[in-house]
Amino acid sequence: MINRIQPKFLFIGLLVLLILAFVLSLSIGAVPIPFNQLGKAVLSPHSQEGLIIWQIRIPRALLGCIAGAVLAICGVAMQGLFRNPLADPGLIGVSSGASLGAGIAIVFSSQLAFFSTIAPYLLSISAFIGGLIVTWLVYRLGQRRGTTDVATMLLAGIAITALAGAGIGLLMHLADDTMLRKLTFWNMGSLNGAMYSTLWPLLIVTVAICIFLPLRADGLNALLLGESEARHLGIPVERLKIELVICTALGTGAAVAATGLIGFVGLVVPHLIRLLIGPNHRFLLPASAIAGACLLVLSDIVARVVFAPAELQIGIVTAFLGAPFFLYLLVRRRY
Amino acid sequence: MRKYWLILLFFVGMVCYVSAGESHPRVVSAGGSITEWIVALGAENDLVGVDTTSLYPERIRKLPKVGYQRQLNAEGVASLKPTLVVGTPEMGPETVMKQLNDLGIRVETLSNTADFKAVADNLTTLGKLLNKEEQAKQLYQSYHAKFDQVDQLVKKAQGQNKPPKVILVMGIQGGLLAAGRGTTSDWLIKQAGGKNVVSFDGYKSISNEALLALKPDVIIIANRTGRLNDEAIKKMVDADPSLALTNAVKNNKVIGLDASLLVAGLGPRLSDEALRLVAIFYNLPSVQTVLVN
Repeated sequence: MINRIQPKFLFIGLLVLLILAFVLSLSIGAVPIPFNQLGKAVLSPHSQEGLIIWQIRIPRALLGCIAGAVLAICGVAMQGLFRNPLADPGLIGVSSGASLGAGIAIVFSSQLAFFSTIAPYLLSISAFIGGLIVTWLVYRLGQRRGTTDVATMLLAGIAITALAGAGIGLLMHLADDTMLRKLTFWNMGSLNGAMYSTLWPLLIVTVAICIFLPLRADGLNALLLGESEARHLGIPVERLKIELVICTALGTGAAVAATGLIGFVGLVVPHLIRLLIGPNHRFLLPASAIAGACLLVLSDIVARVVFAPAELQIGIVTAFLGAPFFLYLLVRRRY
Repeated sequence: MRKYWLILLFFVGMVCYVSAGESHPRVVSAGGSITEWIVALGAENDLVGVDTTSLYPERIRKLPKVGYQRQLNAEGVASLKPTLVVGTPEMGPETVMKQLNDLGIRVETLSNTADFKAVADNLTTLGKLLNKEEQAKQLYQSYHAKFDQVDQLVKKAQGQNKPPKVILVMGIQGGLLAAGRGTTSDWLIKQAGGKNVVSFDGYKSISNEALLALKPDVIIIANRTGRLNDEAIKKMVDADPSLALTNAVKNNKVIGLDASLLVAGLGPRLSDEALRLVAIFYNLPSVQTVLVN
């Protein structure tokens, strides 16, 4: 076993890491801005360097923070709900639903273009709605005699995900080459093109979830014992389950709508933090959020720099960075 | 540690890079054909970066790559200090284009429609942007003249023969994509006097059986190298013996075509390609062509 860290030390460490990652993210990129001129560039937002930092790097770093935090915290919620460390937000269908929504938007964009005002946001809106609809469907299928049966929901999630996958396959058949590539890229996620104007919706959702979920930490802790035990402890289990599903659908849906699919964060970050500080949700939820933010901001730096002036999809980087580290922790856990 | 080296290496590269003068336009071009037109206009020295679809002329491949045309990133493009970014409606994402505008970089979207009007308009625009207006005029005239030559050949040949049934396919893993209506491939086949027997729009997957049912007299296989040797064709026929039943295979008319000709509208190499195709479609003696390189 790894010696567990004191939660407060982990928090301090993670916050320092996040600040470092953020500063690094502002100072590294395809356009060389020497470190000693960074301050000057930040203070003169209309110079070329200032524009690069304010219009390109800061929105990207912010999007990385927000999306990473919400994906990780929703991962904790799902692992708590299913009492299974292998659960991730994709399980309740939100990712595949979003992917289907995105696919519909891409393939039928010309037919849907009569909403000219929302045309640029069509993809995001469609992905968000797709995620919500599919999650709702999975949730409804998981209803048994007035309560939510988690096992049924899990199975329904798998089946609906398969269905959504078939839908995406069908869309791919209808798509032309350009659409196919767009869809492929979207499925690997990217923080490319982040702008303040598109950050707001995700920011609001993320802040709300990051405030709300920690309030439910005791409930999640009680759930670890099992549903009936939690009920005996006075936790309103049924309501808690609905809240967790709604939070995950909204949070993951909004994140995916803004960035495309970024896998791995929601599955592995909570795991990692659990290995470090144990399963107490009081610490697990906020720590995972900060760690998720760190992971995405750092991954994005790599994505921007490795093949500059071209860029790599961030989903590839998160897996390349996170998976070996995670495996290392796993191997160390063996006796 | 490796990451730091990469970053350091990259910075050193960048420093070496940003040393050119500013009197000329500095152009980033996204879209194979657009890049080829810029080179044909004699403005090759203005290019500071290209996308991954820009492959011709081969020396262009040495320029910094800004990624795939749909996945440009604002900072990567900006790092090349361009004054102008040109591409087709395929350029994206939209937000990145907006960011480039905010950085004071002109973004010019040219047409990728497969017709002469688009070529004329694009050349006029490029001529203005790159101070090559005279060259642009002449280039368009000679381009059009070559296609007039193709037209004459086709008219003469069609007096004695029926237009051959043609299918253009791209190999993808697990199947073939065939070129349907509205594509550059479709336009090219028509120009060269062939009849594209694929009736759907755009590029879609097609089964071997469907291909067989269309009874092609000529099968064009778009690939990276542009030329198919007998061995490659033999492999294809071996993999699907039913193909041997088509006229295309019987008459030895399975031919290769450089897939980069089909990206981002009509490019300057298409006129020669059309001449080559006419000769194959109608069994004419090969027409002497001048290769532009």
